[in-house]
Amino acid sequence: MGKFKRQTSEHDILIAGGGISGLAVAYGLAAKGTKVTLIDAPTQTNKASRANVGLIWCQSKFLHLPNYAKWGFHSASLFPALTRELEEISGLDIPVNYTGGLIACVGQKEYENKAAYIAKLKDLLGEYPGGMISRTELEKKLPKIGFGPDVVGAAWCEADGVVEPLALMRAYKAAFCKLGGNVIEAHIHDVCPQDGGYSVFTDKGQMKCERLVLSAGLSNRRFSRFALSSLPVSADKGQVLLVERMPPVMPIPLLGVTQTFGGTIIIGFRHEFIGHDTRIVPEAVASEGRAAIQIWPELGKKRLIRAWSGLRVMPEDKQAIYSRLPNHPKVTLINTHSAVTLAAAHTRHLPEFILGGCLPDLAQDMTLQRFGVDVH
Amino acid sequence: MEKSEHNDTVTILVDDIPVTVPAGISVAAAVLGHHHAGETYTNPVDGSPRAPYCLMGVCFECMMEINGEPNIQSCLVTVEEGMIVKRQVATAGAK
Amino acid sequence: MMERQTDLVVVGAGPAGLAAACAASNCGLEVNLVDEQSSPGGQLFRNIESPLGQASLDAKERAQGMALAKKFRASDITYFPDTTVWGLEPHKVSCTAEGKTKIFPTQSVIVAPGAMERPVPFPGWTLPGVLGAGGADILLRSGGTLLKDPAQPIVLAGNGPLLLLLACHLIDRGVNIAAWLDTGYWRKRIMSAIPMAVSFFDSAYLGKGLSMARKIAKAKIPFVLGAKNLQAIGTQRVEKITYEVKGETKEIATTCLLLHEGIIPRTHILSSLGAKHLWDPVQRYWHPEVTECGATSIDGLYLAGDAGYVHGGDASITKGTLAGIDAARRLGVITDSEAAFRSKQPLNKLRLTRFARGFLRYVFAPNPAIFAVPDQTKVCRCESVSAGDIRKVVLEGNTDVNEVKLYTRCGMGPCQGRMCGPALAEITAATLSTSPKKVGSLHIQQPFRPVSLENYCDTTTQD
Repeated sequence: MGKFKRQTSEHDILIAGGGISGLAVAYGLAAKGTKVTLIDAPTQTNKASRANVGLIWCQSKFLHLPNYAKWGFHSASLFPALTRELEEISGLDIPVNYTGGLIACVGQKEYENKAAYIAKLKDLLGEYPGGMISRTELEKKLPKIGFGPDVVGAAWCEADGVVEPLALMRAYKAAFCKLGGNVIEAHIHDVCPQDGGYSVFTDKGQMKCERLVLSAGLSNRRFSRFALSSLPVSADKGQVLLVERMPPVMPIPLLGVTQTFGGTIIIGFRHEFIGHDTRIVPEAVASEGRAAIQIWPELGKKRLIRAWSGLRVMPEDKQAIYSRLPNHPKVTLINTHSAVTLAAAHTRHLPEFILGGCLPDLAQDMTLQRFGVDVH
Repeated sequence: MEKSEHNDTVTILVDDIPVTVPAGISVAAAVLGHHHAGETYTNPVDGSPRAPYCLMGVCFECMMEINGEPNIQSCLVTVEEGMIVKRQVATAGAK
Repeated sequence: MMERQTDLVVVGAGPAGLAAACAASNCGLEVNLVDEQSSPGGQLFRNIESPLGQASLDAKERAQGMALAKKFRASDITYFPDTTVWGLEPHKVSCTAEGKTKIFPTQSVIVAPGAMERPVPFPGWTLPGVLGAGGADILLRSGGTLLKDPAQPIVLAGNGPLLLLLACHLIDRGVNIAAWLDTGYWRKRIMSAIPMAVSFFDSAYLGKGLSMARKIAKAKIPFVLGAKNLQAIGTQRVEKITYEVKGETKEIATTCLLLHEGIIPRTHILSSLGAKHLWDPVQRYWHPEVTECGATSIDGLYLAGDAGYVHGGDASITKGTLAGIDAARRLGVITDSEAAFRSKQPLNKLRLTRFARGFLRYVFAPNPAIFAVPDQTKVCRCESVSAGDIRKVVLEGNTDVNEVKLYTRCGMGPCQGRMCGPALAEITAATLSTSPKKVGSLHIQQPFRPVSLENYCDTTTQD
């Protein structure tokens, strides 16, 4: 890694934060021939990308934000070409399934609510590759799972899928490095405008750049302080349960109860907004477990091998933020709750925006402007 | 808690074969030290043969099916009369 | 099921746990003791209440263990054998017993999980027939044999005091030891000369060591110094082993290889709770930072015995006693001055033992060469991750073992990195030309042991 301090000349862009979002744009920029340095903290920090199931999930959400819903479908459609490309460049495998996705509905009421929601979403979006299916149809899709008596049916969407999120990250990183990108492991202490550019102070020294991307999740709140008095994102705690390995029984992922490519089952439904508290709360873990058992009773007999939690990043209105900072047109901020699903869109569309261009039509309204911040 | 009487033995069934062992010992010790089973577990990831390594609850290589329940760390279970123990071996049928 | 709240829960019924529970109960505390075995004794005093267990100990240890077990049985401590702890907070211990959940609310906890053998990967170490020396000793103490035909040769390899003890037990049983391959670290051994002289103050240790050495010398076991690059070879089980000495490769036909590379503390429970740990550069392991009374950096949580630092059985009893007394002091059941009075003798004893044991730290220091694991060798037994997989991910720019774990799955299996954690850190550090201290240690998550989802959920409903 050698000694810094690194000078502006060594890179066109500095990216602060190497989670899925940071890597997605780092790779996208490198693929366009941009010289990029990415700073990622070694562990010990809260890393949302580490507490992830890897669902590529488009369905049943964002009725209040139709463009954002379409943005998700668009990203999912870009995934197959992207993962093939990453595999080729990195030489690493990315396990991924584009088999669609299911949300099991427990009780008639839940089923009807979901059906009504999807009906409205269909109206709004025009086309929607899915709908509601009966219990019998659900059993046909997942014949190896004995559903609980209260499961009445499911929401189904063929655009959904699941990717091994750590393999995706690893491939992004390796491909980025192959294309000449530079990754530095360091803790960022602060970011300041200096001499017409930006200085990033880290535990390994100071780094300078002319153009900067902030993709540091919750830490964006600290790093954007030079231009923003507050950033409307909060910590969304997820507790994840890992159940022992089973033979492959789930060719299609179920939201909240998903079999990984390694055969273990990951359970995680909840969202908690309780600041930076990442303690495992057994009561909360248990409620996750009970929800999973209600859908799939046999799971109760299986062994829980560990439980962990992670802080995800939730913008106030749940929609992603892609924005320049006020009076700092060369700084781009990225915050999203759906970094896996949107990764392909980020890779393909955000580099142009970061380099001074426009956001694609669907994402036009995703700047900080919507929170009353003047970024023009 | 009553202590186990000395010289007491119990008989367990290992893959349907009766094995008589001292009372008070673990299933893993019985299968490895008395029945000499060799492979007792096939690793689900790479299919390689495994057997108890640490015998004190650390290594998880001693997992066997005990009284119908799979994946039990057999070094942490004490033998009981009539206990039904099965090795979790991929090639069990062929042997 | 939720049990009644008590003053103290002791986890582990080995020398430290038993002594801790007895000392706390002597101070008037209400104590629950939970242990995963079905009878008290832990590893050192395993089956101490049965003739089988008693026979495998020397006279002094036998007397010590039997006295401790007797005192424990006579006490008012509530004992929960066959009880597996899978969750722990300073005020609550969660367990499974006979398939049912048990929750113990408490004012304080003393954990005494003891020590384990340092797992060191080498080619073929996953083959049936390859065992830890400690595991082999447990088989012998269970009245079993290592091989169906006891006349067949076995091979010992490694470095550490337990290997001496095991060799004596094998000689006593007339086992045919084909070779003893020593992998020790002579640079450190030479440094042990000074503390060794000091240890003469406590001749019990040395006496024990010397009598073992005499027995081994008399048995004329082929002893190979400086053995390197050990390999176990076979398909369904080990059939032969090879090793290098003075640049030459040798081969021995055997179906049983017993390995020992020293003893390290079991730190899972405390590291999952974020207790502060320290690195010992000689013994190359992490150990929790504790006071002389065993208080950890977390209020109300104590540690006793070898899980704090490996000092052996005698010291474990003393450490347990001190922790039990301090737990009573912390709750105000005895005064500070009473605690000081009760602790005086054990404290003096502990200081002396530690001093005397100092030389063992050097004599049996692990040789860093044992961690030069070949690329193809499986490091993570559960997830089948090789040393080469680890090195590759490190070279991709991942410098913390937790990052390496994420991308390789090393340490993600059921054993939660118990078997691969130390080697993962050594290999990661060596690849980066740094110390294992600098590459972090695996984050451990509860439950410590797999527990059925049903049990886990039932538990917490009743809170």
